[in-house]
Amino acid sequence: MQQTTNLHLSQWDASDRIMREDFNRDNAAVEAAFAARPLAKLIGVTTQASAAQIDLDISKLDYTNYSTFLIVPRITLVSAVDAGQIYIRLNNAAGLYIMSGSYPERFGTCSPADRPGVGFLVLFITDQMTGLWSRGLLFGNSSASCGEINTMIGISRAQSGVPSTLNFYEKSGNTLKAGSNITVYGVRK
Amino acid sequence: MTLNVLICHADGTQEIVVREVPDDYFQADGDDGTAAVETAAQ
Repeated sequence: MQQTTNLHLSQWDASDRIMREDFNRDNAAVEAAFAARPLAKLIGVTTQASAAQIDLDISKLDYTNYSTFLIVPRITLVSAVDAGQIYIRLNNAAGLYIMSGSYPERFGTCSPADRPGVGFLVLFITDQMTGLWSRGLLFGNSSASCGEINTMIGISRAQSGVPSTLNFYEKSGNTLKAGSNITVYGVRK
Repeated sequence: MTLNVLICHADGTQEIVVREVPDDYFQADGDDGTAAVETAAQ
């Protein structure tokens, strides 16, 4: 009897006997592989309406079974905006930004609508801190220019309190488009 | 001013609420967003 490459699951040939033990072993292998996967997709949100801000409830993150949460947003704007930038606040509170000072929270984006910027952003949330690493390209609306952003920052739990919401908005209040996506992954302990 | 906010609840539901925010809400970060932007040669 043949087996698959990774989990060694049974691949019966026409001449092979069908054995209950083979099914049980295969199912145990699948169960073990599922339990051992390092990342779990915990939240997957696709926005159903356009809005000036998206508030994502993260109040129920499981800090017992997961050491870190990775938040990967893919947000676009309703209309073309030159060098539009998405900002992120934590707990919707001034002074509790993921980034602060002269480098507020943002990642590459959004303009024009048919040529979106390329942004990569990961938020790290642990039971001790919230941090961000982003890198993105900002595409100009009326020219072929582009800018580059690259930022790392973190705030402690003592500063922020328990994270309850992440708040996404464009720096000038431009509307975030329905169909934007935010995914939260958990890293198992 | 008022702000349309799409709330994505933990149970997967979504709702739009209208929230009153300060007029300088979008400038509250104290930065116009250009400080970290390096414009590449066109």
